[in-house]
Amino acid sequence: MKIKKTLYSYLLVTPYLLHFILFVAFPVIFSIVLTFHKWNIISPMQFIGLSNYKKLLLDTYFLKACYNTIIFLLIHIPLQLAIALGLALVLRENLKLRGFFRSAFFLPVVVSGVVVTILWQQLYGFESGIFNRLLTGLGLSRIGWLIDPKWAMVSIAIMATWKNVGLYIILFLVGLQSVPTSLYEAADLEGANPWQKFRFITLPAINPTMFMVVILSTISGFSLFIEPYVMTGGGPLNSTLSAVLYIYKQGFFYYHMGYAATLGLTFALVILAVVALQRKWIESS
Amino acid sequence: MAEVRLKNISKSFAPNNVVVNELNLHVADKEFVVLVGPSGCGKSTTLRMIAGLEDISSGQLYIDGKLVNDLPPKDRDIAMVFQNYALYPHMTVFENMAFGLKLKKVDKKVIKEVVTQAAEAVDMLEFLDRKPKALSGGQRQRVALGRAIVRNPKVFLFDEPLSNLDAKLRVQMRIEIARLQTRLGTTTIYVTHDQVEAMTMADRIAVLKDGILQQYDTPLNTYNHPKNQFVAGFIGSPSMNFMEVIKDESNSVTDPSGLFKFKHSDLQLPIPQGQKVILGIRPEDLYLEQKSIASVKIAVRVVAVEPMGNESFLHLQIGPHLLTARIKPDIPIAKDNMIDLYMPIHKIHWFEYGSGSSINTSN
Repeated sequence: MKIKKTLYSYLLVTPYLLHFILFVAFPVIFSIVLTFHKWNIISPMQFIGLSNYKKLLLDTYFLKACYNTIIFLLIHIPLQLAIALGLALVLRENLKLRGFFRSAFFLPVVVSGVVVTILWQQLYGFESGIFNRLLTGLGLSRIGWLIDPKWAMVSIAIMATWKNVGLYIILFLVGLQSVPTSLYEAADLEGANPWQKFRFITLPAINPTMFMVVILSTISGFSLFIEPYVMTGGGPLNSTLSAVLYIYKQGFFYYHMGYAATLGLTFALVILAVVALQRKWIESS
Repeated sequence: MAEVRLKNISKSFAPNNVVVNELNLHVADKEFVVLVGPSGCGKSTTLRMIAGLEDISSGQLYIDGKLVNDLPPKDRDIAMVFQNYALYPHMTVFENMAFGLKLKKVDKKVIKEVVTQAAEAVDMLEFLDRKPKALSGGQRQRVALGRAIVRNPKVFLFDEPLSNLDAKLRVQMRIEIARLQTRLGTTTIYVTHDQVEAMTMADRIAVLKDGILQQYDTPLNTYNHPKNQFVAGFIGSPSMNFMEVIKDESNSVTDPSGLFKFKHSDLQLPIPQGQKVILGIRPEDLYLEQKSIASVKIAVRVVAVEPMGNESFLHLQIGPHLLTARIKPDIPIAKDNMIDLYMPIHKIHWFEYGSGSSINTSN
């Protein structure tokens, strides 16, 4: 009876166990093994020791890709935080059509990334894109949104912010709604103006939400891929070549699977370190 | 210090949703007034209108003789203590108490001095560095009280400040608030649904129901001379017993189904014969023995006995009516027995059937 019960228990956890082994444990272990090999999928794997790691240290393209990703994060995170919090503050108020706007801002989150990217590609068009039409309408000169190396990453960051901001608006709304109204009323009685109420009540109260938004947008920012892949292919002049796009190219374009695995593993450790540092910094401040 | 005057104050959230209706109230300088009533009676809304946290739909509000209808809360010179304390969770006790002064850019030395004095008054001096989450409910309420004192306002407003505390702490804080108010001499308006708080703390009680003022009087007058059946039933615990009866002769009333009859020569009601009337008697005014000549005897069945230690409550039945009597704890009475009780005529309250207004029988 006891053995039957134990077997039954194992049977119940088997689907998850299979999924874990096939899609988590095996890929992780296999990619670690791969980092010490040269492999192009077709030929047999060839052990090369630490060569992939030595190559990584001298790879200027990878450095460039990391630099681009950091530039993206530096534009994307503050922009996302400011817009999401600003809109959440507006959408918290008892406005007409509040429900409609809440849904509208969330809509891009559930739309496919490829669809959004193609749409924005049209908006960013140099000749016929709506942004440049607006600029020329105002008497200003056109911007090479996706063809000028100075603007390309900024353009992608703006688009990525638009795509994801809805999710962070929801997170901020939840945080804002958990602040008791009586705190604002007490502050009203003490003569606090709107800015002081925001500074001394709202901001400290939504600190945990802020922390979560920063961490989530950092992780999602580090995995920047679809946008540059579809819109620019990493160009112009590698200005939008993100780390993940570079890893993808190494693996599935040049078939340097061992090197791609090395890049992937190193990059995962970098993300882990950055998030840990962020956490420490936010907690201490 | 200041007086507060409400003139025909009304509040409606929608055309058909009047929550405070033509309220007139005068709170004298240094007076402690308690607004009391059941949930939804408009007492908190009234307080919030005085604080400026709610707009006044119509009527005038004067604080210290000045019309304040359109003044923002900060300019009304009031301080409010909230039910949930409304302490800023990320600030220490000191910072919480100093917040208002800091916003006014008061000198740091002065802030320290004023906060220390207030913390001393509420016995929180040794907790100034703690954050609210490290304090008990009672301590948090003291901080809220201290924060109100720091502002040295003309009027204190309390919105059910003791509701979140346990029974023992509530009694302790009740005494402390009352003592503090007497010492500071600040005009105070206090909202509660607890009639014991109202009775024990107030100089005057304003009883509200459905946004309408039912009675505004001293606690004892409210208890002894309720203006209507609602006030009679709301003030007093256990609440007053009511029986619907019909006047059948000049000196007697009967149960509508004829189950019992009270007759006495002193039972003089200024209403026409055959008219229904509500008889009210407090639980402590039902006696087991005849104390007064002018009393009527009623035979009741004991439904339940609740010994409280210092007293006992008898739950009784007479006809369709359930009554409660408060008796001494050492009298042995068993459940399901029939007993006789005596109602002194002068202790009976009479109320009009329908309107519930008190009937004056002194003439």
